[in-house]
Amino acid sequence: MNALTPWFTDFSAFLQMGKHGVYVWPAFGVSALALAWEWWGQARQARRLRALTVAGVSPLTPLRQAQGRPSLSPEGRGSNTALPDLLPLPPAGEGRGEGKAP
Amino acid sequence: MSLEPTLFHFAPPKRLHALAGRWVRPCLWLALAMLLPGLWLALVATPADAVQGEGYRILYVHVPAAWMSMWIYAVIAFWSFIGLVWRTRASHLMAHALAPTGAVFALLSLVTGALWGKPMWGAWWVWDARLTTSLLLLFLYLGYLALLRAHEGRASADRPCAVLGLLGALNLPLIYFSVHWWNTLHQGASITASGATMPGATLAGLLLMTAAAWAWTFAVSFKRVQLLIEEREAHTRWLHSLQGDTPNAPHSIAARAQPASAGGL
Repeated sequence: MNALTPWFTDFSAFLQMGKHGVYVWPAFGVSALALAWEWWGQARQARRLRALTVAGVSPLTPLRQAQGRPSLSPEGRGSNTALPDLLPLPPAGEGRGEGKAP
Repeated sequence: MSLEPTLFHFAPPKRLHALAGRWVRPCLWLALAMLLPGLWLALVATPADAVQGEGYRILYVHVPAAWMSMWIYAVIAFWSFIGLVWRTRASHLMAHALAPTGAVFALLSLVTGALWGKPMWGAWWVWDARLTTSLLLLFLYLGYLALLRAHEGRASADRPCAVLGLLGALNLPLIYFSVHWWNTLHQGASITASGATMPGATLAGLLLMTAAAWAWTFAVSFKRVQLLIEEREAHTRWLHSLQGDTPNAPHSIAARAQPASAGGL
């Protein structure tokens, strides 16, 4: 094998890859797309971090809280504080799993 | 010389942030330098396989992706162990930074495997031991990422993720030995301690593509660990000193990023 000599005689043979071009090219293409998507995702995360830094919001503050709305983080869940944009909490003892067993 | 100070020198996030920042670009250039000759050998220079024809060229992306998905999980398990035993924050951050890249490679290994399987086996998917354990690895990665996301990236995610990282590592020997322990459709290892059952040029191309995947993994995980540190340490003075004078000394990734568009949040 000469490393500088292509195995194919013309470009269409290169694209067809025998009968396997329809499998080989998508394999390489999807790999390139996945890695590009990963890089783009990181750039997007950096831009988001930059925007939060400029806005003076802690990056780990959930977006709802940054917008002045109550957090739905694990710490916030289960608290008895009413969420203004959701249904009002039922009176004590009438919530899910509390009292009034069938 | 004691190993401990060397081992823990980069444990403080500030030092890890600086170290990671120095290595992103060199690793990217290294990845490109390996990828180009690797692609040349994979697609242009090497002849067709006597049995599988040109379809065997999928090997040059499938095998590195499959190897990387396993090795990255092993490294995650290593950092998880270090983080659990010595409670070093940097170890957990490194594990978190590696997980998305490992998940991408696990997915690629399955997709490219299906693209290879269809012309060679006549099926996109079979419930073969190697394929099933590889699918389980992808689910482990997705579980790890879901756990991290459920904690919104906070330090409270570190211990549960580390436990999952360690437990999930039990799947790695299952993947590796699946072709020996069970009668599988998937072929056995072509590269063993006693040598490789493939031509030298094919092996060179495969090793170049694998080295490129390693360099890429280093680059993206170093970049991601910087972002994770900047998220978690946003309140610290050292990070403010990096970000504060953005026009003159933009050393953090967030400071270098272009401002987000209105809908970017």
